[in-house]
Amino acid sequence: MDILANLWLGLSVAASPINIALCLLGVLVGTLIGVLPGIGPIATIAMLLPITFNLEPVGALIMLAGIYYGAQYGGSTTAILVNMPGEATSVVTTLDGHQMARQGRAGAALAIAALGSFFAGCVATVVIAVLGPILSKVAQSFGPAEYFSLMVVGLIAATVLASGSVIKAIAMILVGLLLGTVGSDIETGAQRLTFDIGELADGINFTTLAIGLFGIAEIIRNLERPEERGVLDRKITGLMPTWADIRQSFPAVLRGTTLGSILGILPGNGAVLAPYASYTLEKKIADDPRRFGKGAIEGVAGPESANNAGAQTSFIPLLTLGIPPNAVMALMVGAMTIHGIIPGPKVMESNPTLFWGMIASMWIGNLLLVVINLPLIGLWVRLLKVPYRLLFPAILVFCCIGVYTLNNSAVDVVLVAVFGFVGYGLLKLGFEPAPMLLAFVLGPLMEENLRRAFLISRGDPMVFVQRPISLGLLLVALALLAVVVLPAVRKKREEAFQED
Amino acid sequence: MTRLRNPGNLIGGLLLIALALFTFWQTADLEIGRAMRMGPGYFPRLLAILICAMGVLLVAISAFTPGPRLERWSWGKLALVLGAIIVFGFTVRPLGLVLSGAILIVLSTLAAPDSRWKETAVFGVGLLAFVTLLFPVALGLPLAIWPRF
Repeated sequence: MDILANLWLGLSVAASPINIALCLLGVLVGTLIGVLPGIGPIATIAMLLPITFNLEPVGALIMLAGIYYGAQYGGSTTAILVNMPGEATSVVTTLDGHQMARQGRAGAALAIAALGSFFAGCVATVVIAVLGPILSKVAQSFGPAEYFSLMVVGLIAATVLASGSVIKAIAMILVGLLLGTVGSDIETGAQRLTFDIGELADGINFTTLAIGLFGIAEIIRNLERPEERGVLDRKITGLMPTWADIRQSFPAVLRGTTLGSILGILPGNGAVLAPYASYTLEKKIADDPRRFGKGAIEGVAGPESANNAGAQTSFIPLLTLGIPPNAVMALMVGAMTIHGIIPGPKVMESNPTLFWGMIASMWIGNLLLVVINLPLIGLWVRLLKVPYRLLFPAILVFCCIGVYTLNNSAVDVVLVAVFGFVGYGLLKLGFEPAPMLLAFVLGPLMEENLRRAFLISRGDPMVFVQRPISLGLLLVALALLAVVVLPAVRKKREEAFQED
Repeated sequence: MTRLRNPGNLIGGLLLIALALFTFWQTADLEIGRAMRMGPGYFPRLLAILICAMGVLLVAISAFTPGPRLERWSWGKLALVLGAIIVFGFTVRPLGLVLSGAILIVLSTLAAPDSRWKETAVFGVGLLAFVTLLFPVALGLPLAIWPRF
């Protein structure tokens, strides 16, 4: 069995003391920011990118991946205990999770969320290990036309899944692509939109953009809203769920894992939908749907598993095709390029230890999360009591130091303020910034592949529809666009986002 | 003046059009080339055209469909937080991490609705000690800790 041999190789990499330590650090930091509302994985990973310069590439990626799925765990803790989603993906968990907590079953809810996520994580790891090699084989036959069409699909899918107006989401993507063109042109070296600022010659720094758009804008936004955090004062008892709980939630965990794994693979951040889809499904097939919203354990188990499975399988498009499906994965591209690794189908052959090490580390990370986090819940609860008036200056200090040390230049720090302003304005005008960040990363890749495709076809645009895979992908993109425009689906989509 | 029916879309659309025009102006001297051999100006201007189209669409929509009112902007908080960041950017080299960090903490805390200065002072000292030990000392990043005279 190839897969077993590969996983064994991965385990031997991931289980080295230094990598376990980095994985532990990653999941701890991830849980911390997941627990704390107002700072998400995007801003955190962006902040920590400069620190990973000094690490081995495998270790750096293991740590960053740990932050990502650690944040998913932490987000659900806040959702259950405080009725406030620590992360966007744990919105659904507040519905039944917090009700369970109110009925004195916080322990059971937290444990089921953690165990369900662990199960989902294990399954998703196997899915990646099985599908990864197959997909990268397919991807190796891709030419520039196919890559371009694939990125179009990814970006269109991102607009479909963005909340709010589709036109606004498409506009955000286009602006993101435009920001990606800033800097020296790859072929001619001509300066594009750099305004004679030397620091912009290499393009806008990804970290600067991400911290400004997500970190700073969120801080100002949070300061506007008066703080209300009704942390549960009751002591959490009975962490272990009863057998009845487990019997009741296991089928939900299985369904959630399946849904999440499938949605996570889709380009364009399908993972975001996973918890919503799972919750709807559980409610539909339940004997008594009225229990939902009043502390049904399936309403925690299903979405939490779906969430974690989706979070992990969204690594598949990144690792096999080199195309990030969402903004966090886009950051991972940044982290890989810093270390001179170009994400894509060749990573698995040229860097097997990196590829399999990272996959195996996800399993270790999930195990660590269960072992560490359940006993640490008391600590997380106490952290939740740190008031925001102390928290946000600390976040600002970390952001500023992180950005300044990128190039030791004040220009980067000023740019963070500029993008913070832009991000705040976008929030106020009802534009969602996440598709913009994704497009920013894909922009240069897209332009390069577009140029190459046209060069090969001697300027004939038919190349995109004459090659079957490319044509198929473009048809998928068209279908996705059609789907959003159809009134019935639009209503469903609005409902799904209503629950925010 | 009548109230705008859909201010978010209208302003957003106008800003997009402005961005597109600005891009055209700034890329005016870049060679466009042809599809077969694209110049550096081809892709940005293609995007500018599409952005302009989205802007026009948004403006058009805003004329026909009502939308939510604009949320109020907290200009004061915005200016304090962004100002604190910019001041940090320019002071960290001459003043060093500790002093510029302190300025950043004080300026940004002014934006908090419920600041308590004693608490902030204690927390701030601890925070600065931590980042000083973490970044320049433990991670060896080239940051000055104290002012250079």
